[in-house]
Parts: sequence; C-alpha cells; structure tokens
Amino acid sequence: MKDNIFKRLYEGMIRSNPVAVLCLGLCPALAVTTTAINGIAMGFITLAVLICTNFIMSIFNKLLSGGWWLFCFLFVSSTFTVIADLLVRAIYPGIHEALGIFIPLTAINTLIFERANNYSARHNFVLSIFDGIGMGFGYTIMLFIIGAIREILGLGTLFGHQIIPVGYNIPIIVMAPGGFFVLAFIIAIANKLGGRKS
Amino acid sequence: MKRTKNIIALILIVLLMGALLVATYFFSKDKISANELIDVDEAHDMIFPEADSFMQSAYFNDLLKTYLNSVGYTDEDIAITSILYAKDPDGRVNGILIDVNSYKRNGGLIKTSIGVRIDGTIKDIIILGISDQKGLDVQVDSETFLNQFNDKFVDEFNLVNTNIKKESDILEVTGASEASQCLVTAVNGALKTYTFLDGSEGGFLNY
Repeated sequence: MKDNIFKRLYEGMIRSNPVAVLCLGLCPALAVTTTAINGIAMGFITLAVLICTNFIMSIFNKLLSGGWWLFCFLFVSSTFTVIADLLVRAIYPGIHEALGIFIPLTAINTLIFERANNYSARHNFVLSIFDGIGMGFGYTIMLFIIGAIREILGLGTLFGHQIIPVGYNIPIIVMAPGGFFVLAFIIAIANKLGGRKS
Repeated sequence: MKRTKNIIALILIVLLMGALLVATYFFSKDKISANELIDVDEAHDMIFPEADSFMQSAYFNDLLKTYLNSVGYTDEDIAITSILYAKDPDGRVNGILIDVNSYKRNGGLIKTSIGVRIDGTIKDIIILGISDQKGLDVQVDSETFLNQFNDKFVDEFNLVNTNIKKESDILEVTGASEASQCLVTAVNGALKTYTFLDGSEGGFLNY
C-alpha cells in the first residue's frame, strides 16, 4: 500500500498503535492514567507536541546531519513541551496540577523521538503531520481506555461520576501495579486481534 | 558546506522556537497569575468566612525560615508562601491563614491553605493543588482525612497507619501514605509558624 495520509492515520491509530503495538511512551501511559480525564489530557498534550515536532523536524531534515539532528530535535521537542506546559497551566490549571511532572517529561517521550527519527527524518512535512495526528490520536485513545478502566475499577467513578457503589472498587488498580495489569491486558487483546504471537 | 547548512538550520530553529516561546509566555503569564490568585483568595474566604479583611503579616521573613529550619522543617520539606491575619469588622484578629507548599520525596508537591485560630487549634485546611499523579492521592483531599486535624490543640501531628491512640494521631489514607505524610508535614509547619508568630509579636492578638 502506497504511503499517504490515510495510511498514516490508519497506521497510527490501529495497525501500529504506539501503546498497544509499538509499546512507546509507556511511562506516562502507566503513571498518569489513574483517571480517564488525565489520560485524555496527557494524550492531547503528547499529540500537540508530536505534530509540531514532526512538522519542524521534517522541514529542517535536509539541512541537518548526525549529532546536529539530535541536538535540534531535543531543542525543538523541549520548546514545544514548555509551550504546552505554559498553555495548559494558563487554560486548564486543574489538569496541570494533576499531571504534574509528566507534562515536562513529554519532551523525552519515546513516541516523539521514535516518530521524529524514523518517520519525519525521511518524509515530507505533510505526511509527517498526518503521521503525528495518527500516532497522537492512537496514543490518546489508548490512554483514555487505560484511564477509564483504572478509574472505574479503582475509584468506582468515570469522569468523577459514581459508577460502582462505594466500597466495591479495587484500590490497587489505580496504584502502580494496577497500571501494569491493565496495560498487559490491553496488549494481550491487541496481540490476539492482530494475530501476533510474540 | 555540510557544517554551514547545519549551522544555518540551527540558527533558524533557535530563532523560530525562541519567538514561539516568547509569544506563549506573554500570552499565558497573566492568566497563570490570575488563576493562582483566584484559587488562593477563594480558599481564604472559605476558611474564615466571618473575616472582614485579611492583612499580610510583617513577620513573614527570613527569621521565620531560620526558626523553621531550627525546629526541623527545611526548605526541602516545606515552604511558607503567605501569612495573613483574618480580622473581624472590629479589627480584631480571629486567626491566621498560612499557605504552605509541602514537598513529597518523589518530587511532587501539595499546596495547602491552613487556618489556625488564635487559640492554636486548626480551623480548616483547604488543599489548593496536588501535583504528581492524582490517583489515590486525591483522597487526601477528602473531608474524612482533613477533618482529623480540625479543632485539635497539639504541638505536632503524627501519622499512623492503624490504631489512633492520641489526639495528635492522624490516620493515613491507605495507598497514599506519602501524600498523607506530606500533608501532615504541611500542617505541622503551619503550627510551628503559629508558635513563631505568637512568640515574635508577644501574641498576635495584640497585633
């Protein structure tokens, strides 16, 4: 199949989903997904930084080489992360408080590095932007699913509304081990659906 | 030639990113300051709703920091960000509002506004923000946990994970022991600040 914008969206959201298939950006996927809203917020922040970084790096790709590329990538992704951090802090202060250190850590998210290095560095800016959109939305969807499962089972709520009666929640699900359980469960389903054995 | 291209690209990227960063900073700085002020002002009004006005303490200075360090509360544990006297319509002090940032060992932060009555009992505690992940930590914000501090006169609170034996014992939130300890440290820091103010000014009742 020839590479085009639709393939980029399909690859990012389904076939090469960054969390369920490529296992990229797992640190925030495990750490901040204690509620569904945290998952969505972290996903959209990563989406924005990913699209902008892909765009800039694909434009300057032909001028950069070797160590210069890496230096410029880190500079660009860090700057867009600081911009995202400032905007979230100004517009959604509650979300900023909830995500804490994981917003600044977006600068070194492996998903952003991998896409800039393996895709944007070899393709034009249009495809790079759509690669960012596909991968970013794929990441956001998975973070939302993980967050929703953990919030419902662990806290008994979804978006703050009580779903499970008080006392019937399973607190370990919102703790670190619960994140691994849910992620493993999702990866297992993705492997089964994708026909992958290992 | 290759080196020149790299340098040109780097200069262009720095200029572009710098411009975007400056624009974002100027767009967001006023909103960020306003957000913080609204939260804090609302919290103060909720803690002392009967207060007519709030007045900044003149003793919010380095002497306080030195005193807190001497009683075991270093800059790595807490930071007192504001001290206000809550005054009634007659101008008498009802109590003090102490805003405290308390730092968790994993780099997280809990911002609180703590109201202390003139007799040294805790009136109310409002959590202004919890950084880091907000899972079980959010339960530190629950009334069940926070009400344990209210109306008690103690030198220091202690965190316990099972039986409460003394008035100063606070039962931690299961699964959020670090956040619980962080909050207890904040309240203890506020009590030490109260002690300092009381001594420094010969009793802030006379303020």
